[in-house]
Amino acid sequence: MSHERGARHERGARRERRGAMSGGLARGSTLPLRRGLLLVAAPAALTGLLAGLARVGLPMPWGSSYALEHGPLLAVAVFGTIIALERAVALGQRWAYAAPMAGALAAAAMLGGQGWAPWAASASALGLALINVVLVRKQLANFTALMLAGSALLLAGDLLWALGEPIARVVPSWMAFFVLTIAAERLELSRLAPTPRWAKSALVALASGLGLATCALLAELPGAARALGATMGLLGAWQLRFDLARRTLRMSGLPRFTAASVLLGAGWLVISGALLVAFGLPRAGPVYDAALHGVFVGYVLSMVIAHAPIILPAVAHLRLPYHRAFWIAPAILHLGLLARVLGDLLAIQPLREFGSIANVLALLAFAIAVFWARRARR
Amino acid sequence: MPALPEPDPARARALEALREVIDPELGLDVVALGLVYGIRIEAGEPERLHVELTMTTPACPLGESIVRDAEARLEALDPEREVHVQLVWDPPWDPGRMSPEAKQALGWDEP
Repeated sequence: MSHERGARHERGARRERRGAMSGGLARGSTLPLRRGLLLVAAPAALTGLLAGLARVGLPMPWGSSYALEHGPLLAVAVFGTIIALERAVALGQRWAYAAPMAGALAAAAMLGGQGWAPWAASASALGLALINVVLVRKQLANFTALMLAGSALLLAGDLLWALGEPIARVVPSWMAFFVLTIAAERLELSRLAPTPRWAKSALVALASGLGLATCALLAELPGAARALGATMGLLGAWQLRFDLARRTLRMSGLPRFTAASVLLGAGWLVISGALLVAFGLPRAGPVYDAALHGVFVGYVLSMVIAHAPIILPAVAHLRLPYHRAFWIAPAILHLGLLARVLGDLLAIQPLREFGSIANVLALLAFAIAVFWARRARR
Repeated sequence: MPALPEPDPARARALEALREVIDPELGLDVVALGLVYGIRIEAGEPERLHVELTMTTPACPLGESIVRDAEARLEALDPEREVHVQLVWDPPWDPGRMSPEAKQALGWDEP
C-alpha cells in the first residue's frame, strides 16, 4: 500500500518535472479552474430549471423571478459554457479558457440580475469562435468549419440579444449553434463508419443550408423558418439513417447508452423540424414551446446526458462508471418531453405540467444514478 | 496495426497495455482505432518509454484523458521506467489506420 503510494508520488513528481522541462505547466493544472466553472454552471442550471417550471405555471418557491431568463440560463449560460469548456480542454491552450470563463461570468451575471450578462455571453461566444478558428487552422476539414460556423451564429445571436433584441427573435441562432456543433461532431465520427461520400456531402449541404436559413430568419426574410425546419428535420433524419450511433447501438454498456440517446435526440430534431415546416416559428405560444423544447431538451439535453459519462471524466477528472440505472434518465426525459409537446399541441395544460416536471426529474434521476454508480464501484 | 513494424517483446507488452485504453464512445481501444503512431524504448537509467498517440481530430476533448489513461497503464507495466505519452497530429489520422476488427465492429464489411 505505502509502496504503491510512494510509486504514485514518484510518478507525480516525474510528471511535474516533465511539465517544467517542456516549458509549460504540468498537465492537469487547469483542473481546479475547470471544476470551478462547472460549479458556477450548476446553480445556473438549477435556477434555469426552476424558472422553466415557473413558466409552465407551476408555483415555485424560487426561480419564478428568473422566468424570462429560463432559456438564456440553460442554453447560453450552461450548455454554452460547457461546450466552450470542452473545446478549451481539446485545444489545451490556457488562453482558450477565457471563453468558458466569460460564459460562467454570464451565468453569474444572469443570476445576479445584471443587464450586462448578454455582453459576457457574447465575449464567451467570441472566445469559442476564436478557439474554433485555431482548430480550423490545425485541421482544415468540413467538420471543423461547421463548428466555426455554429459558433459564429452563437456570437451573432448573443450580440443581437445584447443590443436589446427579444429572446424569441434571437433563439434560432442559439438552436443553430447547437445543431451545427453536434452535426459537425457526428460528421467527424462518421469517418469511422463506412458512410457513403454522398451522405457526407448531403450532411454538409444540409448544415450549410441550416446556417443560411438561420441568417435569413434573423433578417426576417419570408419562408426562413420553414427552411430552417426543413434542414433541421433532414439533419435529424440523416442521423437516424447514417449516424455512427447506429453501429455502436449494437455494442453494450456505455457505447450503447450513448448511441440510444443520440438517436432519440435525432428523432426530436425531425419532430421539431416538421413543426417548423408546418407552422413556421411564431414568437410565442404552443408551437414555439414545442419546437424549441424538441431541440433544446429532446436533442441538446439528450446529447448532453449521452456524453456526460464521457466528457465529465475528461474535463473534470470525475469518474462516471457506467451503470444500468443511467437508462432511467433518458426514459423519463423523452416520455416527459412527449407529454409536454402533446400538451402543447393539444392544449392540455396538465400534460404540459406533467411533462415539464418529468424533464426536471429526469435530470435528478441521472444525478442519483451517477452517485449510485460511483458508490457501487467504490 | 500495419503502421508499426514487428515489435520486440517490450514494445509488444506496451502495445498490449494500450489495448486496454478504450475510447468510451466507440467502445474500441486506441490500438484497434489506429491511434498509436509510435512506441520507442530508450535505454538508460531509468529506461524511458516514449509513446506517440493521436486523436481522430484535435477538436476532441478526450485527448488529455486518453493520454492519462495510457500513461497509467504503461507505468503499471514497470514502475521503474519513465513513461512519456505524447499527442501528435502529424500525419492526421485517417480511417485506413483502423484494424480489421475495429472496421468490422463499426460495420465496414456489411453490404
